[in-house]
Amino acid sequence: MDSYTKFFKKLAIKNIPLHCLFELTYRCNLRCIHCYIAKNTKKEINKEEIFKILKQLEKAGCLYLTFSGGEILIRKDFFEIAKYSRDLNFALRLFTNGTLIDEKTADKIKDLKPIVEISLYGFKNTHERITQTKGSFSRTVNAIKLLTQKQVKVYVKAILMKQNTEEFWELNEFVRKDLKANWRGIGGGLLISPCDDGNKKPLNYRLTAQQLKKYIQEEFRHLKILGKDYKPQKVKQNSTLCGAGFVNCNITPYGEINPCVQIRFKNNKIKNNNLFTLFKNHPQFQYLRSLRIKDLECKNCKLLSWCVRCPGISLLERGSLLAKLPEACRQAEIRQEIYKNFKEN
Amino acid sequence: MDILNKTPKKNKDIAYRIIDREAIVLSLNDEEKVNIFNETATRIWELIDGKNKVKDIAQKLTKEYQIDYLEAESEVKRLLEEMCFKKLITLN
Repeated sequence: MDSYTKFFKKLAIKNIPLHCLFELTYRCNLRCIHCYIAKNTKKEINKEEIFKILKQLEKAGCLYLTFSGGEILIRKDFFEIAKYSRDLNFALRLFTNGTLIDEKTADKIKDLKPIVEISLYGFKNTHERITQTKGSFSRTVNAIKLLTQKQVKVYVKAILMKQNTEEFWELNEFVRKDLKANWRGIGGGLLISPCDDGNKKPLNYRLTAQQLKKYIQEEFRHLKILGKDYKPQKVKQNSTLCGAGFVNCNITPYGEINPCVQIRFKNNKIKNNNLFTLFKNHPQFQYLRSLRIKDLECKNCKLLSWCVRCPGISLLERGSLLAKLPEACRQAEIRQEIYKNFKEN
Repeated sequence: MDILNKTPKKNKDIAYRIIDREAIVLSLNDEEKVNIFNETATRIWELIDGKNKVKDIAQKLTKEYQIDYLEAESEVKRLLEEMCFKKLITLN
């Protein structure tokens, strides 16, 4: 075992939140059809409150800090917050739609030495049908160009849905060759999440069986070109469900701590230096950490090694972290079938 | 100038944490290369404050770990050169 794996395991045992996804705001200038954020009217925390939380995150051992939204650059105090974070020696990752990035903003971003992840869902018509905002494609593309020209590390990603699957691989080429950016592919995997209030409208955008087959076939083919083989996962009954709540946490714009953006707890408001105590001792965090594959409703499923399920999405869609997730089953079946065909040919 | 009289300084483009006497340090120019320091390297990392010279760090380690000065000096020099090579610090 290398020193990093050893170190990482130690952190997981000690419940050190090495990674944090900090949602700075739920306000956004786009209206993406699949967005998981439900409309909220609660008051978001101010800069001073954010500083206090960042100080606590630093003390708790967090190193990798991702700022997400809504759209982070809507916050007028974003660069003060980001600068403060760098002064605390965090490694920053910024999730943005890029539409508010001009030359001056790009320079300020460069100074933070971050990794920037930008969502681009397709070419102009498709992208703007998804964002429901005219002009958003050119503004996002312009931001990618500006940042890459300034040697900022940019990863472009997209959620794969009915609306954009046909142009997905062409988009990959466009991003790498024309925009000279890194292609991160389907950022959040193939499972589109319901909204964080349980609203299932975004699920309508999940791929049809035909689209899914075509995408997975193409994915296998691409891996083969790269000399990689798509292999079934080795699933152990004693394995944990995912990393959420072990070394990963999420902070909301209301100053609450959760394991991830899909699993939202109650009584989790951060105050009076209690961040680490909440992360370590909150009963819902402890419960999540106690769960293993053998606790799943579908623990004996033959497709388990092909299954990419997400406990958070199970919770939102089926009401339990442990529930069978039909969409994951559907994808696992297709993955297995295509794998067999690939092996035979 | 002899390395012993040089003052190591942490680079601006790094991110790090010290957790239970082990440091995780990365250069933001190459985040994939993660450095995990053992206890001695972590103590040296803590003593790099832009004021302590290499010889000061070696002296402090001699006292703290009750080791021979020359042994401490050689270890400090080796580790600082490695940190310098990885662009985590500068030596001026």
